[in-house]
Amino acid sequence: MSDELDPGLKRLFAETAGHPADEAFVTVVTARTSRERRLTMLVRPLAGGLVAAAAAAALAMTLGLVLNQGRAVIGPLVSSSPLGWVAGLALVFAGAVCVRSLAPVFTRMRG
Amino acid sequence: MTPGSLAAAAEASVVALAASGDDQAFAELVRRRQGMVRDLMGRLSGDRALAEDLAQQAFVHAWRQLGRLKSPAAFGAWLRAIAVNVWLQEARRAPARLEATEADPPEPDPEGPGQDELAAARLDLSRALLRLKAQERVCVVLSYAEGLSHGEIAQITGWPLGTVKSNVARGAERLRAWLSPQGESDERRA
Repeated sequence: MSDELDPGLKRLFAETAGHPADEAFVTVVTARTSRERRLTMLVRPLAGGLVAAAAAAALAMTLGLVLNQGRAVIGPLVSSSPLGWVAGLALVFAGAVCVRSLAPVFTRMRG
Repeated sequence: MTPGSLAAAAEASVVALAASGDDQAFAELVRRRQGMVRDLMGRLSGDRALAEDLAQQAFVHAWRQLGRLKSPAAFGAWLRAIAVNVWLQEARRAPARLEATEADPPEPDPEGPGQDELAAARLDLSRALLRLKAQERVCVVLSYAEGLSHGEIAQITGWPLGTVKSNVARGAERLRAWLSPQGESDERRA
């Protein structure tokens, strides 16, 4: 089957075509896009904030759990051992490394 | 760019400007292409208010996705595809709204006598189009009113080429039957 069209129908479609230009239509469309832009500008930072807050809450919960579990091991190690201060320093160092390696992930999430 | 120079600018330049967030440029695109989109929606929907709303929706969709348009020169075809998809979404969401009801009577023509026949032809065609199934209607309108090839229609709608061809043929056949004087008298008898 080819793309050949019925000439009578084609003529009828051509004769009945045409919408007059209407500036009111342009105004309505641009008002809708402006409204949507305002909404987007309001919602995007809010959504970003919510995601960041959820991530921070999850991180805090995980950290809390880990510290809670580790307390039994870390506490006696730091307080009773003669080399407790070395273990304490090592833990602080490990924490700093952790924060440093996670920082790019948070920056990417915020952006 | 001033509104005056926008009106004279090539469409590809206006599209590029609108894609960068220029509201005046986007308004100019709406001004230039509203005839095509409103005509298309009018033929597909029958109901004037619904057609206007869907035409507006098509432009809003285009505004959202303008940054993703790779070739500004293809804006017209891209916009038409968006309009067709907005209509198809509506047809899936609320098919009853797009089924044959009493079509809107054409607006009284300010150009006076001589335009009556054209208004009647427009009304007959509008009524007949509404009696077609949604797929047939889209295929017939894109083929006859927009001048698209079967392949282009298949590309826009995502339907197989054979489906498009049979929809165009069947839809045109039905329109011819309904719009012929014999078809009209049969309808009056029914």
